[in-house]
Amino acid sequence: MQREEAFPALWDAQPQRLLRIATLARNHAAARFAAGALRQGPPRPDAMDVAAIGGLLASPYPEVSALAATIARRLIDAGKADAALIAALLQAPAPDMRDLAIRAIDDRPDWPFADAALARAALTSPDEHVQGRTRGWLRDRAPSRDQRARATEAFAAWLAQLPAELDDTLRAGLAAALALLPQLWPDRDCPLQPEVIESLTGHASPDVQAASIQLIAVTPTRPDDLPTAFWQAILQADAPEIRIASMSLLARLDDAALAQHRDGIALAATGAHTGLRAAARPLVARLAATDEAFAIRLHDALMAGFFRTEPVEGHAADMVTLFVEALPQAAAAIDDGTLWRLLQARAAGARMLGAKLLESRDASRFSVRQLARLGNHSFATVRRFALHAFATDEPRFRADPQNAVLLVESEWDDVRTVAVNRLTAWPSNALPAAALAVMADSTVPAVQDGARLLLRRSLADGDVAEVLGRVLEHPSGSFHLFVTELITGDSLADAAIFAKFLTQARIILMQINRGRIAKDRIFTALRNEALAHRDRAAAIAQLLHDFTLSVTLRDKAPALIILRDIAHAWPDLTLPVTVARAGRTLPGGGSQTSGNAA
Amino acid sequence: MNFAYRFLGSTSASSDAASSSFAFAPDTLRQPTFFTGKVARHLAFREAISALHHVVVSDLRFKPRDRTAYFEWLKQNEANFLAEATAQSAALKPRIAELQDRIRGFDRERDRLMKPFWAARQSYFNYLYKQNRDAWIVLDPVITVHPDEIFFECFSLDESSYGRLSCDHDVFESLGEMAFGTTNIDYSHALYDEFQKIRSYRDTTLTIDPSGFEVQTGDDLDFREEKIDLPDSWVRGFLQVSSAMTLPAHVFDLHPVDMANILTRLAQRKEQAGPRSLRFVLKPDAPVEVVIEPWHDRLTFRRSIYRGKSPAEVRIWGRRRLAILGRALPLARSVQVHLTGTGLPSFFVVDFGGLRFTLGLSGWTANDWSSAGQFDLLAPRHRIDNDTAQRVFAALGKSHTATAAELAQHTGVDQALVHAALTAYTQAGRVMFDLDKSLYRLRELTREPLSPAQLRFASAQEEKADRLINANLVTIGNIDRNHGVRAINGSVLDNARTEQVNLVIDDDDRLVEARCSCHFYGHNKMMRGPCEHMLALRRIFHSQVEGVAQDGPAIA
Repeated sequence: MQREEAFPALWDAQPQRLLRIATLARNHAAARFAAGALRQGPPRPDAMDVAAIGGLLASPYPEVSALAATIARRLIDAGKADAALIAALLQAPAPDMRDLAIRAIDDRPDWPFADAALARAALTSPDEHVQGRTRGWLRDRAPSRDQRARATEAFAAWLAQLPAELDDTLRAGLAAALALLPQLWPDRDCPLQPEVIESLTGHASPDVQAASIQLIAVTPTRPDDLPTAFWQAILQADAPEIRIASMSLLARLDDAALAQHRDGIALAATGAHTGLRAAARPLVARLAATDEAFAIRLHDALMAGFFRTEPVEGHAADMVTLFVEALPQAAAAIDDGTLWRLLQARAAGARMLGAKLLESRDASRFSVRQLARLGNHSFATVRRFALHAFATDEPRFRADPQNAVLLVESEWDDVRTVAVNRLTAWPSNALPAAALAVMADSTVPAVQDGARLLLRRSLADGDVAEVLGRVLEHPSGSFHLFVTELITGDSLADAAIFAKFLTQARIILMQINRGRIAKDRIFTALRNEALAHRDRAAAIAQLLHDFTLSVTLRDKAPALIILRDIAHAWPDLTLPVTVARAGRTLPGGGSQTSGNAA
Repeated sequence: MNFAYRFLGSTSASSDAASSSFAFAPDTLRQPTFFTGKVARHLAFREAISALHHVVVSDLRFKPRDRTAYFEWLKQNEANFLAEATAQSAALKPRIAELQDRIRGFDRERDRLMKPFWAARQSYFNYLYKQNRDAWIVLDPVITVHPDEIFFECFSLDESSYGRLSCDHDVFESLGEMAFGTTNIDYSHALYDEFQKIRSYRDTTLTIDPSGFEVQTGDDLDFREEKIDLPDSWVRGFLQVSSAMTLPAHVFDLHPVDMANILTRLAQRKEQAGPRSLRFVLKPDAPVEVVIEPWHDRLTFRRSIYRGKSPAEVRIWGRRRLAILGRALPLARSVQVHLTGTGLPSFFVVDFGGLRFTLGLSGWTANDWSSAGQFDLLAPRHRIDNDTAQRVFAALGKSHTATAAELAQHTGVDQALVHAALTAYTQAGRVMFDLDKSLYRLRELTREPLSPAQLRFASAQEEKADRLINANLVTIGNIDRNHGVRAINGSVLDNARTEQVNLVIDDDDRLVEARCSCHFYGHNKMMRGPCEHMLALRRIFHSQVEGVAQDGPAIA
C-alpha cells in the first residue's frame, strides 16, 4: 500500500516518533497515519514495542488498537512478552486484549504473582471476567508470602497515586482488590508497613481512606491497640465508604470489645445507607448471639419498624435479612398469630418478613380459609405456598369447601386459574351449594364460567332449590340466563325462593334492550306459576301489570296475555286489569271478571 | 383548587360465604364522622350504590381519536415528500429511491428490534389502566351522617352528573356508634366489584371507620396523605348542580317502567343530528308526555299524572346520562322528576322505600362555550346580611337538618330570609337541599369553606358579562325564529361604546354562530369563546324572553 507521507524514510529511521504519535495522538487522522506507517515500516526492536504497548492499548482509535493487538500477539507468540506487556494487556479496554493476557498468564504457572505489577493489575482489574480468573489463580497457584507481600505493596502504591475523585472503573477495580484481601491474607499477617497505611489514611479520596482501613484489617495490628481517636474518626466519618470499611476492622475485635460499639453498629445496620447496613449486619448477629438484652431490644425495634413504611427503598428487605440472620431463634419462635398479622399487614417490611418466615412453616398450621387468603397475597412466594398446600393436602380443602372456593377470589391469574381448574375437576358432590355460590359471586368471567359448570353438574344429584336460592340474587347478566335454566315448578315450591324469584324476575324483565331469551323464559315461568297456584297468581299479576306499560311489544304482549290467562283461570281473583271479550260491552262499566279497572 | 386528605389505611371490602363487609376510611383531617350498621335492605342497597358508582366514573365527553402517531409519521416523512416533489432531474430519482429503500430497511430493522419493547410498554400501560383505575376518579364521594339518614354524594368525571344515595337509618339493623358530620372517603373501583357480591343471605356491614380519629399523635406511618388538584370547573359544576336543587321546579312522579321506556327508546336508536333533547310536556291532571327528538317519538305515561297547576314544556339535554338509572329502576317504587327549566339542571329521585338515589343532570354534557353564558346558577339571588345568615347557619348546625319554617321559628328570622341565607350557603357548598324530604341539611362539601366568588365565573368574560347585566346595559333587538333556531340581535353599552351583537342559537340551545363589533371578537373571532357582550345578551335573552326562572323562593 502506498505510504501517504512525503518522507517515509525519515519516519522509518525514527520509529519511536511514530510510536509516540500513535500513543499520544488524539486526532484520528494523525493516529491513523502513525499506525499505518508503523505497520508498513521496517521491524522495530521488541523493547521499543513493549515500552509503547501500554499507550497503544489505551488509544481510542481502532487502527492503533489493532496495531497494539498485532504487536502483542507477535511478542506473545515469540515468547517475548514480559509481565509489563501482559499487565498492560490486562488493563486494556478491549476484551480480546484482556483475553490475550489471560491466556498468556494461564500458560505461565508462576504468573501473575511472580511479578508484583502484574499481580496488582490482576487484583485491581475492574473486569468481571478477569476478577473471576484472578480468584482462580489465587486459589490454584497459591502465591508465596513474599509474593503476596510484594503484590500488596504494589497495590498500596497504586492506591497512593489514585486521584481524589474515582471514576466507576477505578472504583470497581478497587472494590475487586479489597474483596480479595481476606483471601490474600487469611491469617491477617500482611507485613505492609504501618507508615504506608498511615499515609493512605490521609489520602484525599474517601475510597482510598476506606481501603487503608481494610488493609489494617489484614495486618497483625490488633484493633484493640488502635487509638480511640482513630476509632472515633473512622466510625463517625462523613464518607460512608470509611464507615463501611470500619466494620471490617470492628469484626476483628473480640466480643467484649465489640460490645462497646454496639449502639453504633446497630445504628449502622438499621440506617439509611445500603452498603453500611450490609457491612454491619454480621456484627449485629455476633452481638445478638452473645448479648441477650441487646437481642431483645433489637427484636422489639425491628418488629415495630416492620409495620411502618420503609424510610428508604430497600430498607425493609435489609431489615428482614437482619432479623433472620441475627435473631434466628426469635424468627423461629414467632407464633402463628403474629405471622398472620405480618402477612396481612399493609407495610412492605411486615409482608416481606412474613413471606420469609413462611418458607419454614408447615401449611397445616393455617386453616383452609387462611390459605385461601394467602392465595391473594401480593408476594408470589406466599401464593406458591398456598398453591402447594392446595396441591398436596387436597383432602383438607375438600373437607372445608366453603373456604376452599375462596381461592378463586384471588386477583392473581397464577392462583385463580389453578384454583378454578382444580375445583372444576372435583367430584360433583364435593362442593355444596353454599360453596358454589361463593364461586359464582366472583366478578371474573372465567370464574363465573367455572361456577356455572359446577352448578350444572351439581344439579344432577343436588338440590336445585338450594342452588336457585343462591344464584337468584346474582346481578350478572350471564347468571340471569343461567337462573332461567333452573326454574321449574319443583324448584320454586318454597315460598321464600318464590319471593326471591319474583324480585329477580322484575330485575331481568326490566333490563334495557337485552336479555330477550331470559325474559321470554321468565314470562313462561310466571305463567306456569300463576296458573298452577292461585295464591301466587295475585303477586304475579301485580308484577305483570307494570309491564303492560312497556313500550317494548315483546314485553307488553306476554304480560297482557298472561294476565288474561290468569283472569280465566282464577275468575274470582281481584286483578289490576279488566278482561273483556272483544265486541262485548262491559255491563255498567264493570268487568266480566271481578276486579278493578286499570 | 388543591385539597388535602389524610386517611388511616385504605377503604377495605371483603366477602365470604356468610358475610360481606365494607369499611370506608374517612378523612381524618375533618371533623370525626363515623358510622356502623348492618344493611337490612340488601338488594336495594346494592343496586342503588352500583348506580352511584356509575355516576362517579361517568364520562360522556367526546374523545377524539388520537392522531399523534399519524402526525409523527408525517413529520418524519416530510423531507421525503419534499424531495419527491422537487426532484426534477432523472439522475436524482434513482438516488432518492435507493436512499428511501435504505431508510425503509432501517425502519423495518428498528421496528423489529423495538417490537418487544412496544409490546411490553403497552402491556404495562394496560396493567396500569387496569390496576390503577382509581386514578380516574376525580374526587372521592363524600359521606354525611345525620340523625335521620346517611347519604353519599358524588359528581362525575365529565362534570355533568350528580349522584346521591340516601339511606334512612331503618335501612340498617344493629346500628352502632355514630358521629354526625361530613367526610370524604377513600373510594376505589375494587369496591364496585365487592358491591356486586351483596346478597340477602349474607350479613352486610357498612362502617365508616372511626379508628383514624382515635390515634392521638397521628405520627403512625399507616396514615396516608393525599393531595389532589381539582379543576375549578369541576368544583363549579358541582356547586351549580347542587344550587339548582333550591330552584323552583316542576315535580311529578313517573312509574319506574315509564322511566325504563324512555331509556329503552334512547337505547334503540342513535341520532345523527340534533335536536337531541327530551321534551317533557306537562298538562295539569293529564298523563305526562315525553317527546324524544329528533324523531318526535311521543310517549304518553298513562299512570303518571302531572298534578301541577300550570302547563309547561321543559327540554333537557344530555339525556344519554339517564342510562345510569337503568340499574336502579327494577327495584324502585317510583321515580320523582324535578325539572327546573329548559337547559337547567334536572333531578331524578328513585325511591326504593327507605333508600333514595338521586341523579342530577346539569343542563349540558359538554361544558364548552356553546352552552356557556346561559345561566348563572351561582349568582347571588337575594340580599341578606352576614349576621342573619350566620345565625341561620348556626341554627342548622345544631340539628343538622331542618325545614325553612323550623329554622324561622327557632331563629325568629323571616322565612324568606331563611331561604335566602340557606341558598347562599348552598351555593357555597356548605348546605344542601334534600329533594327527597324537602328540607335543608348541613353538609360541608370541603374541609375549608369554598369561595363562591372565586368559583362563580368560568372566565373573565363571564364576570364582565355579569357586570354589564347588573348595570342594565344590555338591550335585545329583534329575534327571528325558524324551526327552533333563534337569531338574536342586540346591543351592549360598554365603556361608552355600543357594541352590536348577533347570536344564533340552535334547537339544542347551543350557540352556533355569534358576531360582535367589539375588539375581543375582532381579534379572536370565536377561538377564545364568546365575548362578554355575547354572554350578556344570551343571559338576558334566556331570562327575559324565554322566561327561565333563575331565582325566586326555594321550595319549602
